[in-house]
Amino acid sequence: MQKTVSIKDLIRKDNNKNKLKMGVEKTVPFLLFALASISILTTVGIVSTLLYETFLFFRDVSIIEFFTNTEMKPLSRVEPSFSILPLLSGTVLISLVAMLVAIPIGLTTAIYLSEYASVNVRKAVKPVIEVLAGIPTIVYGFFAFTFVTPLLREFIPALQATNALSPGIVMGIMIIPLVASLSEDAMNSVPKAMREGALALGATKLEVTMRVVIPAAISGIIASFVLGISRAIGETMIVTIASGSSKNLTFDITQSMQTMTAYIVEVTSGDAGAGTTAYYSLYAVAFALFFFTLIMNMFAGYISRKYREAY
Amino acid sequence: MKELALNSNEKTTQKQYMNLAKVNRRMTARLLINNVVKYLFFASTMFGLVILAFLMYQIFSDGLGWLSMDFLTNRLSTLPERAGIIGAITGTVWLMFIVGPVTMVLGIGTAIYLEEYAKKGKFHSFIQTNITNLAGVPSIVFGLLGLTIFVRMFGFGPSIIAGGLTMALLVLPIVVVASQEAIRAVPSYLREASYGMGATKWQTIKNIVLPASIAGILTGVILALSRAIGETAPLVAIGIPALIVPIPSSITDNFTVLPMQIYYWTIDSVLVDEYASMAAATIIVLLAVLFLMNSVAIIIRNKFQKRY
Amino acid sequence: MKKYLVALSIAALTVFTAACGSDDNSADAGELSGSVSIDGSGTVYPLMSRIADEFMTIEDVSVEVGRAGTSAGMQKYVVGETDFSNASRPIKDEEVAELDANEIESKEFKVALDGLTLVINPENDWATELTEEEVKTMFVTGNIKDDDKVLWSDIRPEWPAEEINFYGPNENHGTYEFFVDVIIEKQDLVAGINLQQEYSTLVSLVSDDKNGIAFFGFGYYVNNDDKLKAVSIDFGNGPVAPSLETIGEDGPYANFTRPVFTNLNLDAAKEKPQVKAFAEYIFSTGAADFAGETGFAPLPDEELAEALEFVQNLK
Repeated sequence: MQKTVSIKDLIRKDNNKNKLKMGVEKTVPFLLFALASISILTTVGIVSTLLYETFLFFRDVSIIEFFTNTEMKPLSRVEPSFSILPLLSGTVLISLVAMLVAIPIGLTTAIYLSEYASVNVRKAVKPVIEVLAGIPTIVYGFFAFTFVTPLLREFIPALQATNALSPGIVMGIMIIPLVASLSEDAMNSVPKAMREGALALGATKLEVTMRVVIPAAISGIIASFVLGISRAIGETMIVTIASGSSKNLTFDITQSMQTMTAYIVEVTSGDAGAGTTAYYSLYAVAFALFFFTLIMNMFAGYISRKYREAY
Repeated sequence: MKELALNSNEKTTQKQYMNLAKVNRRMTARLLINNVVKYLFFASTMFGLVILAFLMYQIFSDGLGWLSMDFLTNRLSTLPERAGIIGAITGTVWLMFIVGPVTMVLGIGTAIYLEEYAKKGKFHSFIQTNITNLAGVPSIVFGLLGLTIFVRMFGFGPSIIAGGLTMALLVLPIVVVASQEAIRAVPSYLREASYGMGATKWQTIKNIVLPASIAGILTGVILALSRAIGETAPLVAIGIPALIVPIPSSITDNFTVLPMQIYYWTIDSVLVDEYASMAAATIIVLLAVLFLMNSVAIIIRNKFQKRY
Repeated sequence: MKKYLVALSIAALTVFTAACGSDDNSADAGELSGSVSIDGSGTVYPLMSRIADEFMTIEDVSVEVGRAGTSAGMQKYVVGETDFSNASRPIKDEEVAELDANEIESKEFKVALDGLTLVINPENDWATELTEEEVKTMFVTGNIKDDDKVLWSDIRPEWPAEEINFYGPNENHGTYEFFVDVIIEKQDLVAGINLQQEYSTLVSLVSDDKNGIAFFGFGYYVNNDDKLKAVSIDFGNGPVAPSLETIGEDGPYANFTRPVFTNLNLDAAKEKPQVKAFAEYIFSTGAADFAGETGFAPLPDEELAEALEFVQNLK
């Protein structure tokens, strides 16, 4: 069987194949670009829905009133009043309690793991602590409501059944792994030579940690704190379950109070029908929440970039 | 530094070298503090572990009694003795079926675009910053996005498709970042060898880069899935009804998932005392599923991870 | 790589076909099938979900019960999204107008009676009885003191001179509307009243607060009568404790009793046999059998029979 092969045909065939190949080569980047733009579309979607409905809200309620008024009674039929301050005080207070737990314990855990623990101990302990970060927040909410609050009330009788303290503490526990692992990363990237130099000068391990390692890793450590705060502000289920829904402007952590996130849950699962002012207030609060967490995250990114010391 | 300064002061005024007793005292104190603090740090590290143990103990002692085959296979009911979580389990599986493929396509596509195609410039860093920031947006805000766009605008209602798409957007940054890291870890000589053989860019990506990074990508997808099935807040926002007895059978069906069931049983424990234990039993199931998924992720990572 | 892509597309396809397939054959299981969607009041939810639960053991129908709140449920109902809308208050004129605009035929039915209950801490051994007048006075702002720091001794001098802490469900609840509109006749509530979204929170708040007093539906009290004490109310003929017997329509507690409702989309009932069947079930057995268990007083038999007849005659 003899088959004649024409070189011309072969070239044509190859060209056709190449055309197809080049076609794929040209379309693939556009396809991938389209996929990549979904993430931008998501942001655009979030910002535009929040902005639009927030705008509708501020047609009914003055923006100054929203930030200066102290009474939050969105559904009151006598005289509805809108103010973000009670929600802000709840958010700030609970986040503060959370950070009072998460920062000292997270940082000291990071120091222990990075500076003191042997390789084996670190290998064993680190994943277990990270399990804490993988537990769904609804589980923490259940834990705060059914175990921690009753336990705390043994010691603090004035504590209400829903309060700011218990969800704050539990949220702090949830944030420990975040602070610990980010701070530990920062400390680990401090070069060994710096530690050894200090040790050779006669410093104790503690002094090396406090005067050499921490100052050198400070930007990463602070970034971990800021990210922790941002996480606390955005946490929803723990506070929805365990801190109640009182919208009072108070700084008493034994009382029930509501955070911005819990307010969003209350309104979406509650009675405010689309089109009412109370419904739009939801978006104004969500916009504030989005804005605060965004600022925090960008700030964390900024400090860890700006003050990162390159070794 | 202070101590040194002090010593040199002493030296000049008293014309004397160091006071040995004083140095010893200071040295002992420093070492003592060092040791005490070391145990303090250790104790604080243990704090997290103790809390974890306590949490597990409480939940298991509360919920283990309710865990039975009937509880796992019965449908939801308002009566504790009849209630089961098969509907929530099925709903969770359905949710994964949406979140998995959607995040894989979007996440891997975005990562390839960013790592292989996009010119490093303003636009590249814009997308990158955008993804980093999306990762930090509170989940409840994603819930509002889902409520406004998928539930209301598209008219999906609180269905599997609406919940799944909302969750997919929420966990997308996890997949993107994991895929980016996996793709970046593929050494450039592999790519160059492929180009050298005459392969085109897309052929190189398809035949060399993706197979080499698939373990890292899959690990990211599994982590994203385990985040998605534990999230509650976005689903609360899109308005999942409290009592859904039937088992969902299509993506347009309304559904419930394990965390939603935990949520409703926890706040309803005032109506029926047993609900609290049922919530704890559901938590055990949820944690078991998460543990399983994370184990799979670790196995994949160890089995497929190639060292270059 | 092809392998992965193939596997992926097969997986996606399976999901897709499974999704489409099951849609089709859901129509041929048993005598009745399909779904009934219900949303609305959280107060009615325990009763309605209990009825739905029992109905589903008899028929292969999926009944979905939500509890977004009376008004939120109505929002969905007036556009035809739901078949039933539970309500703890009568339907409003604007809601009727919207139903008309959407050409939906609807009827409101009473399903049970709920007795508004005032609860106190079990350690409170003085305020176990209040007159109707005292309740109306103490919960209204400015009635006793300008700053609303009301002491028990301001109500009856022999009671302790300790400040009363007021609690109640928030504006999301029909119970709130009933209390404000009917009982205190649209006056303002005392300042500083602690309004909560979840009944669980209210129960635990009052069960720890010796000076607390709260109002909510009887159902939430009976389920927690070990942690709370109900106040007997004197409507002029001596104190009456709320109970399933006394909160009935002609019972001595009737002044604090209100009906709870469900609205039925008549078009849906005519078109979908499962909706009609569920409506019949509510009025033939459900409402009577499960009201007591969930803390409501059942309606008189005649009223239920009348509703049943109306539903049965729908064509």
